[in-house]
Amino acid sequence: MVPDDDEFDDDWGAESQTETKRIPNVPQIPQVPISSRVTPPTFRTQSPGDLELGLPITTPRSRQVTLTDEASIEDARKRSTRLSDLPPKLLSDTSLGRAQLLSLADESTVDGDALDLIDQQSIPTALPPPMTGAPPSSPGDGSDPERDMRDRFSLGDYSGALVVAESILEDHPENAEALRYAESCRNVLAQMYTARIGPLERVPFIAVPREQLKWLSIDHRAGFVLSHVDGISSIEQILDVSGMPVLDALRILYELAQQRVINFR
Amino acid sequence: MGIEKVIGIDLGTTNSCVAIVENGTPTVIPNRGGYKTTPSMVAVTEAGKRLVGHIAKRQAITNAENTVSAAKRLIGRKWSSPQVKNTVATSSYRIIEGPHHDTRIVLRDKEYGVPEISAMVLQEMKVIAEDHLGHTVTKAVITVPAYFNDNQRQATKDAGEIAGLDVIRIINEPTAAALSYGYGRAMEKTIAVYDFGGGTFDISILEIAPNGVFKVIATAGDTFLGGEDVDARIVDWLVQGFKTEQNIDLRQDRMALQRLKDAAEKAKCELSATKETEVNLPFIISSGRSEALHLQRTLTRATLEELTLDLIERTIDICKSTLDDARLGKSEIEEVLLVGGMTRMPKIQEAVEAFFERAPSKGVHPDEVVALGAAIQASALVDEKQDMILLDVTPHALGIMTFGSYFEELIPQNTTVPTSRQKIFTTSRDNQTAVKILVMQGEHEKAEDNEVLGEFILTGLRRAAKGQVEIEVTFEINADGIVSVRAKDLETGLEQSIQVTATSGLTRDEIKAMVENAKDDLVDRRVSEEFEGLKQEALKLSGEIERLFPQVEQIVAASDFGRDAIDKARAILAKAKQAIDRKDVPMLKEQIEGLSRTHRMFKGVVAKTH
Repeated sequence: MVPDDDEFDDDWGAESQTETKRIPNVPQIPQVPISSRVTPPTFRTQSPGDLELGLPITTPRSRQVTLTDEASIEDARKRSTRLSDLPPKLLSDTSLGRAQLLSLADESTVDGDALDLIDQQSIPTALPPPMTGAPPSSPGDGSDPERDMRDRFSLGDYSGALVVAESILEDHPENAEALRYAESCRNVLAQMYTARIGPLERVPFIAVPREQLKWLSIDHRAGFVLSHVDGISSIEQILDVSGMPVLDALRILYELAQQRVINFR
Repeated sequence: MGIEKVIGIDLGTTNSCVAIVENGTPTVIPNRGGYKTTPSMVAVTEAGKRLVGHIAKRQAITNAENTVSAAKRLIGRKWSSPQVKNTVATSSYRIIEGPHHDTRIVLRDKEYGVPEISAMVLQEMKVIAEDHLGHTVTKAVITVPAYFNDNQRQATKDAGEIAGLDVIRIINEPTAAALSYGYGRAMEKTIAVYDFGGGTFDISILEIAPNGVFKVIATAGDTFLGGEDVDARIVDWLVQGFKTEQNIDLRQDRMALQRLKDAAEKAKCELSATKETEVNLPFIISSGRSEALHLQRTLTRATLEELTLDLIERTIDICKSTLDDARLGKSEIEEVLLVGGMTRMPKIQEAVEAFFERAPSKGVHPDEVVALGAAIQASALVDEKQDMILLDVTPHALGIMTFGSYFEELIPQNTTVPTSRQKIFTTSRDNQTAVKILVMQGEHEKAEDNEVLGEFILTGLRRAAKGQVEIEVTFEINADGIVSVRAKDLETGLEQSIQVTATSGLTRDEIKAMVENAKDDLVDRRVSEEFEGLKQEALKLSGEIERLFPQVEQIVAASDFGRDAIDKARAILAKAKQAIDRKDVPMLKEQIEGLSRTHRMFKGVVAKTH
């Protein structure tokens, strides 16, 4: 069952007040025991305790806390929840390309509200942690991965839901539900990252002296993306040449921007 | 109305270049990135987006299965040809047999004809020229290697057609280079063109006659020897050094390999001007402990020369055998022209000078010289005031197979067309009632070494002893390059004929469909460019309106009027944003009008109150 938008607003409006106080400038460990996060799939039946789990539950969050002011985080969270509780469906054919992908939500799901979802001012700023390949701490006990995936999605843990969906697909590549969830998660995450780093036509440039680059704490994948940042190529071009999934490249660009290694013009 | 602009295109194996004659001066047109050459690479991304040129090259290793490089090695070749087999063995992308024994390339599960891939590169060159000139370009002269046969030339023409270009002439690359160096005008000279490019090496010996005929008297090369091999040696050296230091094989990581390849090419270019260069690749790979490692090494010119000495020697060996084929001594070569980016390497210049015992001609950029020559020829073809400096000649000899599997030449190489030649043959066996005419192209004595163009059988011959029945074979090439072969029994007058048309392996219907697809792609691209322009305009106007909003709201709040206008302005801003998000060009155009009106109105309101 999908609650209507008003229901979302009311509930998350209340939640946001609590959350605004809850996010300090340090990595945040959820207060609620993991077992209580095993929430029913529909929004209405969530307890206040469940709502606190709207943040991605894997740590560390050291990068998230540097994002933006708390009010906009909450505003963003409120809006992101609307999307999180929508039934996942294939928002797009990936072959349509990123440009379409980014506008798909408003075309196929939320009738105009989706514009808010990709609005830079209102995007969910509490971005998910990097995907490591291993499922983050689980809201479920792991015995029912499909339910786990649905739960994570409804809680807004898109990266967690994506990892679970991909692990299901490893064993059952034709699993239609996992395919839909994986696609939706990728779309939502891509929208989140894109909204944070701005239009794809923007051109990133290296913002630290070249000789200091080697002292940065980044891995070789980020190093590869960074090697394509030449002050001429746009974000879109870098995504095209990165040779990695768009989502990974977007996350890396976002993280490099967060670390002030790159900036955009 | 002025003379129509015709572009000259050097469609290279690894890089392509487009040039035009402007105000009498041949000029290379740079691409949007400012580069005068564009990699002849085509890729399709995971999202189905097509990439051409530098951007395709930058992801060539990380998306190797879906990136086509060196399509020129395959163009116009039959699936069964050794060159195709060689390319299949060395390519990272999938090459399959086409429906007409031709060769096709598979990218992201879609099949492409080889001319279709080359057409994407040509279309890129066309767009570069159009952006520079500000109008549509429809005609081109394209260069091909001197050894290309009719099928390969036809395939190149087909590629031009698919790209929306009428290819008014195909010319040989060494001929274009010679034109660019200023040869060909009332001059008689024998020259060598040493062309060491990114993917191939060619040496051609040309005889330039004052009547405008450039005779390619010998040409040879290696289609798998080029600058890429030099890059590969540098990559090997870097990989080996890193393995010794860190015990990690960088070849196992595609991202590392892509960066190594880019860095190797850069280092190679730098070493043509400096004695040493530093290769610095931070975060090249992560160690087992997830710690990022850096690669930093200094490469000297001397080391590079040592690493590539055998490659240079191979080119010199080919030069030697080519001169032998042409039955010419070094002293008979009056000029040596350098073509191709690799010839900027000082060691190569030294080697060429040492072999030919003559300093090679300099002064023309080796990457641009072929395109410039094509542009000179293009200009000459459309400008009646200019001398016709080049005649259309047959690139290879034409003839038939005779008894003992020998090739009998009827039309020699470099014969100007249209032309017609006849020869009388006899039967080779007693009581032979039929003869098979096997039409071939090439210069080899043994028939099997030449290309078969077609065959037909003449029957109803009188039973007689061998050598008694005479058959006249006539070859005709018309002005369009179409070859007709006729065999006639001189006694009975019975005759059979065949018309040989070069084929790229694509049918007319396939070409037509590809032309339409390419047109659609170009329209999409132009729409996308139009959208970007409109988007910038809309964003600028929206920003201005947003900036004026607080003042206008303040003014409106103080009166009873204007609330509607405020709401309407907000609605227009929202719709413009929606049009941008949807990439809807017509809607965006409409909203820009609204934004302009709103902007004018807001400015007016603010101006009146001040």
